[in-house]
Amino acid sequence: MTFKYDAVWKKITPELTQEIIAFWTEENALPKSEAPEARAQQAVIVMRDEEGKIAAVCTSVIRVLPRLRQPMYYYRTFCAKKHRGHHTVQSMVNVAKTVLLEFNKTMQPPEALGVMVELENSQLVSQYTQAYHKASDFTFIGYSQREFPIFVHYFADFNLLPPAPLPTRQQQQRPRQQKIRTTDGITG
Amino acid sequence: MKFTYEVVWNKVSAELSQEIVAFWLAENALPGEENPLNRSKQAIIAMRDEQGVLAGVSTGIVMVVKRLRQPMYYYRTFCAQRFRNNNTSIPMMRASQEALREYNLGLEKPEAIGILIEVESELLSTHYTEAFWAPTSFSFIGYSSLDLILRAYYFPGFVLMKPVPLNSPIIKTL
Repeated sequence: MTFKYDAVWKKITPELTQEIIAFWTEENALPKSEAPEARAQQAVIVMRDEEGKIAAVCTSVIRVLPRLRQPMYYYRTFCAKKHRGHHTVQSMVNVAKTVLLEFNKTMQPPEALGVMVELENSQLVSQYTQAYHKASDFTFIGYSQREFPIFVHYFADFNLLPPAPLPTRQQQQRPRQQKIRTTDGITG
Repeated sequence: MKFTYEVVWNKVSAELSQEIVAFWLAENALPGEENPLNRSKQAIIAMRDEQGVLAGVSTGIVMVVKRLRQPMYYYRTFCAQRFRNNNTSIPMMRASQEALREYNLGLEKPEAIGILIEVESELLSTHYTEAFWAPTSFSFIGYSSLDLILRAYYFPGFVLMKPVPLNSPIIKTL
């Protein structure tokens, strides 16, 4: 089956919003805590099947994790059950990366340095076991509080921004001279 | 000036150990609490000038840091004052990456899946500001508790191991 990847980042019309929400609702894709209307505005790519029906949607929202202190797009994707197993995950993320890169190239400073994924899907975790994924250029940076592996992709040549300040409770430092690690640092 | 990058990982003889220690002491390279003899056993690459004089040494030690929970080599390097500004940090790093990768490829189970650096040099942290450092494939993974940049490089094709539990005594916090 052939799929089409529509870049919809920052181009979400009210009609598309409704279409995306209908797709998610039908697939029971979103947790109750998530507001579908707001989430639909975060859509980056809409993947469509040969009939033009939505087969998957990926979204992203800027997050600054305490562990990175740099703005990143938190990337999530959902594919309709009937369209799974077609190896679209990588194509989808690669198109999304390009779209987000192009968007940020025009900004000074960029709103994010790259894309971050939390691998929630156990099938994906068992597929993507390497610490560095060459095909999608994602690098492991640790585990989330939910124990899912987190991977990042940085846009080529993007520079680090001044680090976001840490919450006060995490501003502990080990003494500079002493090399023995005795204090707690960033865990988030 | 030309330098040679000699792989000494797991091949540090008593003589080389003495030579490295003498080099560090002459350069006042190690903090007081570091045992030079022990540290010299961690040498990966000995960089030498055209006369064969020791000009720089890189070291690595397996460490499991809290944020990764995977075994990594904690990499450090020191270049003699008079040999600085010769663009040796990247060749030194590449030689170290290759030596450690080769070593682990030869093990039934790798002892580490990559290399971790904490960029202490102000010159390096202000020079190399990209989140992904292309010349050596190191990615930014955050800041240490000293507010220094941390970067990780994984050996190509190496898979994640079972994460070390957070309450394990081997876990270190950088």
